[in-house]
Amino acid sequence: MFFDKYSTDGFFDEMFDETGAVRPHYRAILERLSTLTEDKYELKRQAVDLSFLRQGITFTVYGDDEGTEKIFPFDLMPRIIPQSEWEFLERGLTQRIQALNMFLKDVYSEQRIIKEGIIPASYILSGKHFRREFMNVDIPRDIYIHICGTDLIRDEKGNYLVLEDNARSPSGVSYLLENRQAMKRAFPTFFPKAGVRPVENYSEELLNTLQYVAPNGKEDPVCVLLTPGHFNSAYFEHCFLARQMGIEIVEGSDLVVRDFKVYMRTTQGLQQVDVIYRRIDDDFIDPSVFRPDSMLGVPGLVNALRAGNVNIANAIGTGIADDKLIYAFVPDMIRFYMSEEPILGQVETFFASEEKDFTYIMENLDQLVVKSANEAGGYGMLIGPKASKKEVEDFRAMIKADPRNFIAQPPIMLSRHPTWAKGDFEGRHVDLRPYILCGEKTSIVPGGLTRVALNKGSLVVNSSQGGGSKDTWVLYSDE
Amino acid sequence: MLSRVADSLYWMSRYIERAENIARLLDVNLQLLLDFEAMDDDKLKEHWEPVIRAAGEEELFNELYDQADSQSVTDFLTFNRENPSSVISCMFAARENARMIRDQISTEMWQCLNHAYLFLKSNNAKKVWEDGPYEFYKQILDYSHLFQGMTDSTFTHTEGYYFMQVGKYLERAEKTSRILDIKYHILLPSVEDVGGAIDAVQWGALLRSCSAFEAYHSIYVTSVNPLKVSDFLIFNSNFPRSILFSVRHLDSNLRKISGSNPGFYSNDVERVSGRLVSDMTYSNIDDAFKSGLHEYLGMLQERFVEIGEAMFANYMFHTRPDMATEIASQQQQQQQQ
Amino acid sequence: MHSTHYRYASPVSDSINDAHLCPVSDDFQQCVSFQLDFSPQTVNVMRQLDFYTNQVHHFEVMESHQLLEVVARSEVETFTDQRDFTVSCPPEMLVGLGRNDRYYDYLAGSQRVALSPMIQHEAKEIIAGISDVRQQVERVMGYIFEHFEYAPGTTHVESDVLHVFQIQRGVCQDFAHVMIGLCRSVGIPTRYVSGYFYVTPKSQSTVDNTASHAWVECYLPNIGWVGYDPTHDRRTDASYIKVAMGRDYVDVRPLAGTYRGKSTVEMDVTVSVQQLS
Repeated sequence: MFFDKYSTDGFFDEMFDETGAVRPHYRAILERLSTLTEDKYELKRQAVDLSFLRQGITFTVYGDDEGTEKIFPFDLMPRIIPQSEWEFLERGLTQRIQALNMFLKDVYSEQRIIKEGIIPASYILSGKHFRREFMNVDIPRDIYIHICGTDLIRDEKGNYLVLEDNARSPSGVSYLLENRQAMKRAFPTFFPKAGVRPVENYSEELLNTLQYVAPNGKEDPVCVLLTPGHFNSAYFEHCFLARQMGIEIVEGSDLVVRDFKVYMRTTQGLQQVDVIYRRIDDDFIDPSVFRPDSMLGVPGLVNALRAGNVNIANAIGTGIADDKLIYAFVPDMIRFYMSEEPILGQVETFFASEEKDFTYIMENLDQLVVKSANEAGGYGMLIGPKASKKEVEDFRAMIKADPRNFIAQPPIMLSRHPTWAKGDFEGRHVDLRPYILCGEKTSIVPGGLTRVALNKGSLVVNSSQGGGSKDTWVLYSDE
Repeated sequence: MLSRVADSLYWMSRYIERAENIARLLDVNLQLLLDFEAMDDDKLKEHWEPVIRAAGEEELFNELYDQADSQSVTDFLTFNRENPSSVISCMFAARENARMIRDQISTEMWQCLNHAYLFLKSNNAKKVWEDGPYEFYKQILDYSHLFQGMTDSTFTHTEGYYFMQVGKYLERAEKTSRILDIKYHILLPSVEDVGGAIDAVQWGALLRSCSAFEAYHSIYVTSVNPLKVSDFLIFNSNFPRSILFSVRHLDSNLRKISGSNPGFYSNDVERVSGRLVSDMTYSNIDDAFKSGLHEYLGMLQERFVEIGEAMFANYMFHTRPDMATEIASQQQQQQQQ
Repeated sequence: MHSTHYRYASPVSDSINDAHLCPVSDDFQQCVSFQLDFSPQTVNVMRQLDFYTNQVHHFEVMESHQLLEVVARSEVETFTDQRDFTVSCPPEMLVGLGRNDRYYDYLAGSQRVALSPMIQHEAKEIIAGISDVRQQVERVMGYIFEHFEYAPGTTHVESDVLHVFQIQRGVCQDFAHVMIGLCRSVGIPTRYVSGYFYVTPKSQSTVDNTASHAWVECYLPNIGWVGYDPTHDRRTDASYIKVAMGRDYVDVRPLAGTYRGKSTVEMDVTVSVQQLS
């Protein structure tokens, strides 16, 4: 019997409360599981893995020549969010993304937030992803972040906290959709009875969002998805989304710029493109403006944007909004632009560039989580309590050399979730990445990508570093 | 359709067809050896060299191997990743092209190629081959046929499909001509001088290499005759691997892409392909032998290259610029003095 | 007039460029007219203000071409700087400017001017004992003029400030970078200025006038931004025409861009400045 030996070990557990009783919204799944044997569960699990591999639902691991394609490990045990909790998250995330978009509009035009002393100019101007080239460029409908993948965690009391706003080109949404498919196949009779809100209309909403932000409100705009190419780790996802939306997936070399307009090269000649959903970083998007050695981008694209003949999602320069220093100011942004109190909490942040914080960081380095201000994917990160002496000292030197590039946060004991580990369920740390779309309205697909650190005790959930994923169920009700 | 996508569809289809042809060629030639008594090194060399030539990779082979024997040639043409025309390279290239346009093809097509890829990548592949090459090559042929069948039944028959057909038939015409050309290398200058049991076995093998043995015998009841075999493989209008059949289907698929009517052409590739169709339609095997079979086949191969180039110039010219040499250069700047 | 020719050994295409060629209008000069001509003429041009409020012309030549010609003609009226330069410039007034959006970029290191302890040490030594910012700046300028040799050909357009420091030689672009490095590392906001320098036909100048000129502007408390030319060891005056300003050369390159083609290129630039009245 599953869960006989399960222990929450004092962490906040998504499924069981502190007394060890199952939470109401997990009752149904627990009942379903109790009818399964270990062998049957294992069979279902293997079938799902195999179908992922067959379908080529893989990601690429860099620096590994053989077997470069791996499946993103999937854990069958779903993460479940009751309706009231989700409504709260929706409100909080909507508020946050609106504030971030107002911030970007402001910081690339009037800069009121600097002039009124809310954020020091130096934090913005020193941001690696602040694009001076994009000052005063008009963006259709003033939406900068169209697609946001905000990372949420829960602390030891179960409070949701924002960990990161991924405002550049967040990935992972295809796993969310494929995971749901896998769950339906694995539990064909149970699933319809579980009262789970569907996630399948994400692609449609995404297409609506892209069409809504076409230049000059153009009707029936031609949208394309710009990918760095099939060697990119998220190429599977790019294909998946393009196909679901029914739009072309293009590489940089498929596009040309003529007369400050963007065209794609087709067998019938050149066809004009209005909206580009780009999955390629700012640095590589236009070699005539950013990195000249980029072979992935489209020379002249930025000029076409300046001329207002094309729009791209997300806009160039949104990276300043997910700079980890600027992150600390998001609550202030919400107060400044919206005159509201932030709904969602976030993690306390210390700046290595501030003298007072710097001293504190240096004295408590082995007790803190240190992050590089502009990296994503769990790279450039130190988890003080788990790091070796040498790692701590290496970081100390790096922080001293470039304080602007580092922040520190107290470690948060992420909530845990029962996860299959060789024959039984054990608690593993999880986070949650909901996907937020900003078009005519802000919409959040009911669910998200729950990432799980598969290694016992690990807090790192990134796919490149031993993470897996779970299907995330948002229920119609609270049980 | 994006030019790049058309390009990938075309090459995906060509590579699959190529893998199939090489696999069959090897299989038949391995079996052929069983019909002979033990052969010495020279004889073996004589047997295998034309096969390498038919694959079009003579130079590379000589670079990589000392001697042409069953072991080296089959390895070179089956498993060698350095050889772009080996079965494994072709299958990988087909799958890689498919991967680049995965969103454009059906899941079935993708899964078929991906399955083939996983099989070839596994240790199992080599084991199957060692247990019996026949089973191995059969597997490759099956993948190819499965893929073509799935393409037919799960992929919309629109522009992309036509590009695939063009790729397939161009490759098939090319390979059939090369396989037939092998015989020239074995044959003496005068066709009439040869005959006898061994030769009949060889011509039979040739037909098998083109999957044509049964089809041939359903038309010609008599024993295998070089003139008739050549006629069949070049000019038969109903056998799906003959050159004329391939060229006609190539041409009609080209027309479906542009929508132009037979008898007219709307671009250069249709012009060169249409010309080849009428040249072949109004020639027969005597004309081919008159100019010399080898010369005639050589002429055809040149025309195939011409069609391939025109194809590229007409539909793919927008395709990816050669990034290695045509990288965006920085405009020179003047120092302020 | 500022004319630039690019001659490519074989045809190139997809040429996408930015031009910083239009002189600024401010308190000390007025750009009366500006005209930008191209050959080939099939050029698309778009004009915008950049982050530093310079006029920038984005233009593209997509068709295949072997010669690209860009000619900028401008008429500029310059005025004498009437500000009082005898007021005191206390360094304390510079404290905290690094947090201000108008000065941050001119105090931080930039692409060509990386700040380093070595440069800071040098700067501190040069201004030791001077407590007025204007005098500090003028001392730095004098130091560069005395210690660095004007030597065309010893550096190139991509040289950075550390290299110039090592060889102690260079041209106006390098001198400006050195001055920027020294001033910024002691907290004086300093920016790079690209422009033209009018030399009367009779005067014997060591400076070859076929290229555009470069100098710096420093922010002096109680006065404002003041131009200094370390190449000539003088404050700028009405014979200087300011075209663009930025953190360093990279922000104000008269012409910059990319093209597609594997061609080698020959460039020649002529600049001529004439006094109209």
